Amino acid sequence: MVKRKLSTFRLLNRINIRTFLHSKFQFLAVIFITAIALTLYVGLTSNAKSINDRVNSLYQDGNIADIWVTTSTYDENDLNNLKSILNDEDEIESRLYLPASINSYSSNALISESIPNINKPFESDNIEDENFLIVDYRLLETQDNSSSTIVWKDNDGNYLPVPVTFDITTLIDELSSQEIMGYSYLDLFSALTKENKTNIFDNSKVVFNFQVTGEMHFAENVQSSLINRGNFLLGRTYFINTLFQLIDDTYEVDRDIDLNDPYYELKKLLLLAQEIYQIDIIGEIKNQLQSYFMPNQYIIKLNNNSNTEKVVDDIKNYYENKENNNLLIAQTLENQSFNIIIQNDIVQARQLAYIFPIVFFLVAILVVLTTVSQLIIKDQIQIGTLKALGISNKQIILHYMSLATFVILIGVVIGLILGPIILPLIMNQKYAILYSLPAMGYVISIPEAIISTLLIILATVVVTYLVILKTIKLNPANSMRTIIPKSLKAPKKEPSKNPKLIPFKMAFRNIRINIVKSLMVIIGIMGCSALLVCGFGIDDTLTNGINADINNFFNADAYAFYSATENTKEQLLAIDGVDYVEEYTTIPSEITFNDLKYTTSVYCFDDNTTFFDIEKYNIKEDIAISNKVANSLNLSIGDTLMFSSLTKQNEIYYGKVGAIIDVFYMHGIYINIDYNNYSSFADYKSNAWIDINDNYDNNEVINQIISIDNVSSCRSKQESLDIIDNYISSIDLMTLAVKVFAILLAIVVLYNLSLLNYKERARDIATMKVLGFSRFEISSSLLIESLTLTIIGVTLGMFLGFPMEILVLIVNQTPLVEFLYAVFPLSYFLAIIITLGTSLVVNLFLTLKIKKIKMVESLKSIE
Amino acid sequence: MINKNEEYQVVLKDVSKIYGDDKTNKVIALDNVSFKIKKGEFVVILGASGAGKSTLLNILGGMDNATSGSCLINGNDIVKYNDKQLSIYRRNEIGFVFQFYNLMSNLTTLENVLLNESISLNPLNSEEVLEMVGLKDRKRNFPSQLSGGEQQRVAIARAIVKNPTLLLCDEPTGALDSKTGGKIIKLLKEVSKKYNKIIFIVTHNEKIAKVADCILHIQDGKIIQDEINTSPTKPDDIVW
Repeated sequence: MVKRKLSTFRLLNRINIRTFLHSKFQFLAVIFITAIALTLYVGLTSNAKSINDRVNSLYQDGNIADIWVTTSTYDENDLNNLKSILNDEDEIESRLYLPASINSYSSNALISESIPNINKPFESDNIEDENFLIVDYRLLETQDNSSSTIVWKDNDGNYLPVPVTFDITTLIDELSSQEIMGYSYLDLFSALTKENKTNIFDNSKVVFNFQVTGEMHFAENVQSSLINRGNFLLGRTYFINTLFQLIDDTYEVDRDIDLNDPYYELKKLLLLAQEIYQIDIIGEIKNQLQSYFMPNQYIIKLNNNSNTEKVVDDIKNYYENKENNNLLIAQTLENQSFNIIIQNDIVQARQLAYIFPIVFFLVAILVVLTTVSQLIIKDQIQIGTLKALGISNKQIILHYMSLATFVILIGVVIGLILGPIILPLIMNQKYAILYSLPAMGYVISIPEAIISTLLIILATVVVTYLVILKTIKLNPANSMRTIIPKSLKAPKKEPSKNPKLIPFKMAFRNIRINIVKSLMVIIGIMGCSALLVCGFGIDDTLTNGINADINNFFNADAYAFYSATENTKEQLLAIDGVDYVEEYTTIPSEITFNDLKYTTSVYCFDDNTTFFDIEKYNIKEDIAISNKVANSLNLSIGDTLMFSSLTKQNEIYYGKVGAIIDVFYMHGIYINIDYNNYSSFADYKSNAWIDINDNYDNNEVINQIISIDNVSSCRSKQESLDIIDNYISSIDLMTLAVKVFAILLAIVVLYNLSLLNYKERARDIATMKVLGFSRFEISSSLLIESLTLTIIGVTLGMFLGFPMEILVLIVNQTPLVEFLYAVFPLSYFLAIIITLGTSLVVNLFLTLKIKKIKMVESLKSIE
Repeated sequence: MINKNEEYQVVLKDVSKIYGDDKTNKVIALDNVSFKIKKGEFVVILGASGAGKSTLLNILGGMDNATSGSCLINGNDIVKYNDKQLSIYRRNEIGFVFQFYNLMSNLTTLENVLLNESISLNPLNSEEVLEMVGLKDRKRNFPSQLSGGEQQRVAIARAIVKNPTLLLCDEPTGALDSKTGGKIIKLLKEVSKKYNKIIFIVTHNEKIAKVADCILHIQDGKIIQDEINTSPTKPDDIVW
């Protein structure tokens, strides 16, 4: 008995390898489309996992709190009472939370006795124990190209003092309501103000110069925006000492009182109290102020066994049972807006994985279907021969399944490698702008990788089985017979005898005969053109949004932001080149409607505004709101909302919605301060639109504007638009990726179809060559077929593009902007031209193959 | 122009076709083949498999070029033609009938003929030609709806509609049963007579040779016998 050298399986595998090598270009389409599908799916799911992991890592490193308890006033018993609610392992810390701004950037000061352990800074340096001002690395970054870039360090890398501004409106209100010796505290401060000094309480804001002592990453700063640049940590001792220094520098008991002094009587009393009764007036003032700056927030870190919701309920119960309920809000991490926003993005990142890849998966299966069908048809006689030789059906089926699976696996491996590298890199362009997160590492979402691999292999195996089933059922004799091509029914009517129509007839009949293949191309092209419309449409939506904002808000040559003082407008107008100044203000506020709350800006204009179209939106008694506010709070025209400044939440205002404005970026609510007592809501103006004379250099004028003491920044129109451009650059990158993938899809689908056509018709082409047809004449019917399918696909794609764009943008919705969905006619035109152009180029490229087809092919038998 | 051969439409002189360069791979497919054919002659090239029949047909049809020698068609030496000239030559001078018909499966009978009519300089009427081959009633049918013999008739109609100088038939009965094959040969003979065309038939079927005016016996790339048949048998008289 002869020992078998090679098993049937191995011999059949050799056939597989040679078939693969021989038809590698046909299989290339399968590999390519599979690789794209896997790259997208695994890449996007890995991206979702990556961002989730990074957020978790940030929260862990920053020891993020589970509960935030914010109070309206300080109660010395609160801390101990709250401790009694918690378990021994739970931690609690107190801090003073104060809205503030560093230079022109809104921020929040978190003032504590020592560096916190809950919500602690990490990866920080130069941290001292008490006298600390630690700012986020992100806050130090240059945020835009505007001239208001903050300079934090000198050339040697030493930190510089920075101006930190606190709003003291509420303090002023409190001081004005308190009396001493028949005088209000405010009078007291006026009487104590040194000569040549300005009473701190004459302004609603107080500015301190603090020395930055360190930089940090900070979990609560995970989400940043142009409105609020996050939190910084300030040592209470440092804060109080600086405050006291300011008091000492500003106030004293006047020993030389002028009879004409309006505070003569008061000053006399103060001098008397200090000299006769030995009362340290300034010291008393310091104590009084110190008591105002007491903790108003408790942050709690629970151990693993504690039930967060129950603890929050217990805390609420504690405050409700107090005589003076000073609880403003008790929030869990899940309720924190920064966490909600980033968690939304994580969910959106996951959802994104189920939009684009589906198109590519479907096309991949269709490409597999057509390629395997073609292979089986071509191999029908070989299949019959193998059967005749006694090889079992199972072995033959496995033979083809393994070939198809092998090809698919190459694409899968490429996708699994590239996806988790490329997609998170692309998506991180967006995250890097929106969030402050730890560095990105290589993350692969293993369950999704396994599931998608198994699914596509399963689909391939099933498709192969279904395709081969009909052939494998034939007996060997029938299988080895010449394959009769599928045909159409004879036409009933006399067909046209115009020879010029023949290529068209060939093309259309081929489409009808190979309907599955044709459908594959239509779906692929539809996907391609829809993706292109989607990609261009996203650009259009952004342009539409920016145009809307330009029309509403950015029509001035420059915009200045300053600390509110009486004479800023006059100072601005005094600058050579400034033609016109119009003041307005924006106030971060909380809006409430039907128990829904939303934090946004309130834009306050007056009746004479020329830049904002008060008349168009009819903002008088009523107010206008942006579409984003309307959508977020389910507001309609006629509804009445409630709003209050974040710094003065006890002052509630009401506004009836008179107009809903399409706004892209500058969303909020828009009020006319000349109506409805809104002037008390905006008691100062801190922004100005400025028109610059055409004869002056804009930059020079802007530099002069910045040189005004209380002007924190001034941007040109272009710089403002650049900021928006910078923000949406991540979306630009995404649209570019969409367009590139769309064209790749078109190339793969069309290449696959055309290659199949050329292979199928090699004999026809050879025959036509023998008959003397030119290359153009031979390719015309193939070209017509391809272009016909392209046109059908493009037409359908035009309808699909806009819904796809909306879907993509909804998934990519960010809190900062509201997309004004649009697709301009030019975009449709470009999508059509690019798809048709791709089709034409692919076909012309394959036309070159006609030259390679040998005429002797025509002499061979059909098999 | 070679006037002395003007009565001959096809003149081959010392035509050789050699494949491969070095001595070990060198294959001489045609070895100094020479013959002359007059207009309207029905020529059968007879030989066993691998004798060089197809190579000869390829050179006559402008599908391949000879290594040496001359091949005068209407006095023009096609051996000197470049690819483009050969393409024009095939387009204008040659009608080709294939063993496996090679019809365009998506075109009806008439359209297959019209296709060739569309590229010809001086074509015949497609419908008349179809009528001549006996397929007037099947003009709307697709090739797959026709029998093998009918398909070959369409192929013949397609070849002659161009009104070519030469009609080259590569084993035109090779895929048909003998009776149908006989009918095809009869048709080709009628075509030759009606249109006064030179018809070359490549075959290994000696029965076909009996109807020929000229029989070229080919073996190992050489014409071993150039036989003039002064009294060809009528196709109907042959038992196919």
